[in-house]
Amino acid sequence: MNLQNFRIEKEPAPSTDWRVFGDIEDDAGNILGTFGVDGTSVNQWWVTQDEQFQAGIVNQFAVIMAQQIISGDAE
Amino acid sequence: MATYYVRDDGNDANTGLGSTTALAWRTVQKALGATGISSGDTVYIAPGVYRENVTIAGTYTAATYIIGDPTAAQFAGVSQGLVRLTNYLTLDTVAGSGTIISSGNKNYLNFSYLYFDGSATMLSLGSSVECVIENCAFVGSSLTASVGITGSVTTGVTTNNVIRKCMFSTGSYGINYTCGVNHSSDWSAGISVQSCAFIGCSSVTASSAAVRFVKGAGGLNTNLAGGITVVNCYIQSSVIGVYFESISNTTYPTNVRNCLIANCGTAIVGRTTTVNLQDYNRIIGCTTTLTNVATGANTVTVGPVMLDIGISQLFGLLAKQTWFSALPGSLNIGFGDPTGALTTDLFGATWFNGGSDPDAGALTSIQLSNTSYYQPTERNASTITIAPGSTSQSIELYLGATGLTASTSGLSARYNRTRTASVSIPLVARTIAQAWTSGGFAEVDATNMPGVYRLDIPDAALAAGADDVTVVVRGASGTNGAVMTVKLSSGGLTAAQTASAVWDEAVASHVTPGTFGLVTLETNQTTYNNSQDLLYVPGLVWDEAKSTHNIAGTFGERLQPNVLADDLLARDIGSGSSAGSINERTVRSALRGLRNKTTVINNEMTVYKEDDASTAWSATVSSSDSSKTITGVDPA
Repeated sequence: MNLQNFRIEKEPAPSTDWRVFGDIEDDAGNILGTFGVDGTSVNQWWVTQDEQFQAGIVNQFAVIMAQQIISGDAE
Repeated sequence: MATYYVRDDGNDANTGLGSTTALAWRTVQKALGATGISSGDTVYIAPGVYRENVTIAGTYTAATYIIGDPTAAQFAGVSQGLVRLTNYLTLDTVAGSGTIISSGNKNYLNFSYLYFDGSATMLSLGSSVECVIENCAFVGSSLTASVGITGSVTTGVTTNNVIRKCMFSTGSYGINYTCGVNHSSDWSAGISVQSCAFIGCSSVTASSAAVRFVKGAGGLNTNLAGGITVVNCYIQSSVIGVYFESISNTTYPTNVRNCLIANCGTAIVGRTTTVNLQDYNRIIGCTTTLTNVATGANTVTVGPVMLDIGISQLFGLLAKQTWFSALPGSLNIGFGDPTGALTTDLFGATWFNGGSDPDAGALTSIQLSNTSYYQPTERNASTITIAPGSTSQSIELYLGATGLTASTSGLSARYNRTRTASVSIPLVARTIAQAWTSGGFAEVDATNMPGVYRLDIPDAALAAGADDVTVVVRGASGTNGAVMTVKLSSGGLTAAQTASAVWDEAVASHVTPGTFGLVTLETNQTTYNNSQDLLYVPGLVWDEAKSTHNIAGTFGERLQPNVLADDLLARDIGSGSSAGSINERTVRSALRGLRNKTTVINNEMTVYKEDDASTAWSATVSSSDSSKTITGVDPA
């Protein structure tokens, strides 16, 4: 799976969301899908994922969060 | 162009100009500081642990070498070991801090054979140019902070920096480079990463990568740095394998070639497909193969990784390989393209298919057994002598293992004659007592002479014309093989030397009855006038009983009873010397008178020869006058 014309953009304040743009292609360059003309909202996508997947990602965040707490970069 | 030395029992107050404790420096900082080495110099660092945060302070305008010496080749009496540079500044059990070496933006630095071990950035190249980092290892111990090499490219500058044959296992980036921004035109950063291995080099953060080049902060996404190549690297288990984050340009695109990128989140991330190129890569098991990177016509994304992650050792195979080298038959072998690639892999081994046919990945198929398995030892190297031209010869070899046969897997034999190519000896199964056959191979006695084998040498190997023949048997499991040199000689002496040794030998010491020596001694009348010896042979002859010597025609036969008498009586009286002498008084003449024609005329008696015509002898015959009675014969 390849991503072409891929980019991410932060939505204007006050939104804290991000949008993902690009084409999803196979190795032969055939477009399998896209993130849509307006991109795909990360927050909207996130809530559609099952809990097991979300837990896995949160566990990865937790490590960084812990380091920021120790270093004083996070509250 | 001076050479300096650092060792962990040296002293920074020393001159640094010798490798001994009394001369060498103690710290790397001293060597690379303001009062250390100069441009073009070389400093060797002995095995040991150097707990330092080094900042390079010298100024270098030509290649300057900082060389670890793990084999202690430069340090007599020092044991081999890692040249470990670490930011664990006090003890390994106390948290480390700080960059291990900061280049201070100095140029022309050449680092090699150093083991960096730290919890933060290990080698910071800054904006240094013309630098080479090779044969170094970077092992990190912080998920987010341990980075192998960092650097920055000043906008518009081509660095010509090379990172090759290095190993990275870091928590965060293996290589993390910031590459300026917003130059006036396309430009090349000129950085090459070749034949390096990256194992798990990235933290969980989304932008973390084993190899990352990113544009500087701010500025427009135009005229960004390009000219960065990543070739023949093995990248395993990173969030991103190679990340060209918002960099590259159409004039100097980035390129990733001949890499094996396995089990990463995304193998390669670029800015656009037109400036971030890749080809000849094997991208295996990655969630996303390419993001904004050109599709290479020769890149594959399907198939096994096929690396030996210690497999051959785990299974106890004799054909052990180095870890992470390509397995035999691996699709990585020969997958790459020679453009921009080294001819050797991370460990300096020529690519399996040859230097011009590189693999994908950093480590080609390297079988340790090829070098360690066959090591003929001195106990198996011996020399024997066989006369040149000998045929049907067998030799005995010690192979150090029992149960070998002509068909044992891997077992082979070869010979070579002086200055000629080797020749195979096809092995033929024999039992120890069977007759010779070329290549015959038999175990002598597994119980009482274990490890000894008979090998039947081909006649051609022993033909005259060579000084010697070397025979090698090797290749089977459990034996180091054997080497035997056959000296082709008739005994070590030339024919002339042999003749001299015999003929010049004193006969006095060779008196064994029945030998040539004794016969020679007994007949040597001049030198050894020993009457007993001189008479020995004649005595044997004259004392020998004649009855046992009756073979026709021999002296013995002539001495048999009556033989000579019979010969005398049967002698033709017309034969022999003086046969024609008149008036000879011999037995013959007498017998002629009795047997041959005789006439008496006028008192003259004539005795004729056997032809009854020639006169043998004559005599005057006297008689009485009246009766003519013969009264006497008086031969002349």
